Amino acid sequence: MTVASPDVIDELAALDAEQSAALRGHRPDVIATAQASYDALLPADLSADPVPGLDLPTRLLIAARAAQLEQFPTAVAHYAARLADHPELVTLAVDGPNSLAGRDASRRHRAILRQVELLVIRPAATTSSDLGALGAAGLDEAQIVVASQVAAFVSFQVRVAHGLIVLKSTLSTEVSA
Amino acid sequence: MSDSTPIGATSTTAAFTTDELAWHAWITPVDPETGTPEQRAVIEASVWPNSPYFRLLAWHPAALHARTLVDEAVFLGRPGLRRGERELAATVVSRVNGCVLCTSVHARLTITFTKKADEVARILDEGVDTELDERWRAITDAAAALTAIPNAFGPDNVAALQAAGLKPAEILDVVQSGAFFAWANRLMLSLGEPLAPSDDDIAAIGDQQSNEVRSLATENAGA
Repeated sequence: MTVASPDVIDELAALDAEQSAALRGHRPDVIATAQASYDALLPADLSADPVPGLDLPTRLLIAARAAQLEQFPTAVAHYAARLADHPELVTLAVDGPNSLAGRDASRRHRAILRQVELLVIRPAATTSSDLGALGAAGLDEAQIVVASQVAAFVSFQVRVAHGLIVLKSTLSTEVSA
Repeated sequence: MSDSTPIGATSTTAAFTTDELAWHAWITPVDPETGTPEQRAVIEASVWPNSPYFRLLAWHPAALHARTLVDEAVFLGRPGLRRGERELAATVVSRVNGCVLCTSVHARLTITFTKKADEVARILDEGVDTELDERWRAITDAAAALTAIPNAFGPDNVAALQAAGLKPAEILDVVQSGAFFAWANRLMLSLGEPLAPSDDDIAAIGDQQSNEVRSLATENAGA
């Protein structure tokens, strides 16, 4: 029996238990599987993960950068909090690879962040040569898949959270009107 | 293979279609013959077990499996918004993001469930601002707004959806269907590309077709 981890989408949308039940309660399987996806890609540690070569600080860097590109500050803050031991990666996530932090970053992190920017902002512009660049920076197929999954998952996560924030404000206006 | 034509190499030249397309990975997928038992199990449990897309995602089996379960929870969960209108949201997001393969699959599913082939064809050919009735206008606008960065989905979308008859729970179904394709499109677009099917793609295309038949049967059974 493990203690249930706090629901991250509820955290990002600032929903208390009552609000979460009212807004999301009709789809308990979506709540559970979205959190399971987060736990699979961004667990507390990688001791049971099949792709430990894409280390946890790098995964959190990807998630924080994707959240920054999505312009979703509470998600940036969430991933930054998990990077408390790596303040240089928080700066890199916020400022991006084309910054002083980017100048000091590893080639591997710079290459990953280039791909995250394309994937989040202009996904249809990606080409096979972009994956070639990741391979040249040392990522294997499994690491490329996990890096892509983390960034793409954040694009899902922040949209659900955004929708819930809008619904919360709209419905509370109706209740008080 | 060499006579296969790349389709939609960039979003500006994308030719949106309801034709069957095959997806080819740019990096090597998991081979079910040599994969781990866990990899084989999650490939079998995925939507299209013969597709290189799901075989590629099987490099991280737990993440693929959780993702498959999100897909099912968002699109098959009952009651709530009609399946065809969840597929409409998926189609619109895929069209806006420029994902030719996702658009083809979910345009076909939208037509299967709603019978509105003309409207779907116009969304593909003309874009999301084509003329639509009030309910489809509201769902389409909400899904397109949700796709923008910064996110443009706001109270006016909720008001339009409510005016079109959607309850709050159904509005969240629009949001979650659209949001799931923010995820799916980004993987499909960045890890490979759609091609006109060749003989090598028969098994993967067969999965797409059987999934669409199965979806309709499931929906009719539950209706």
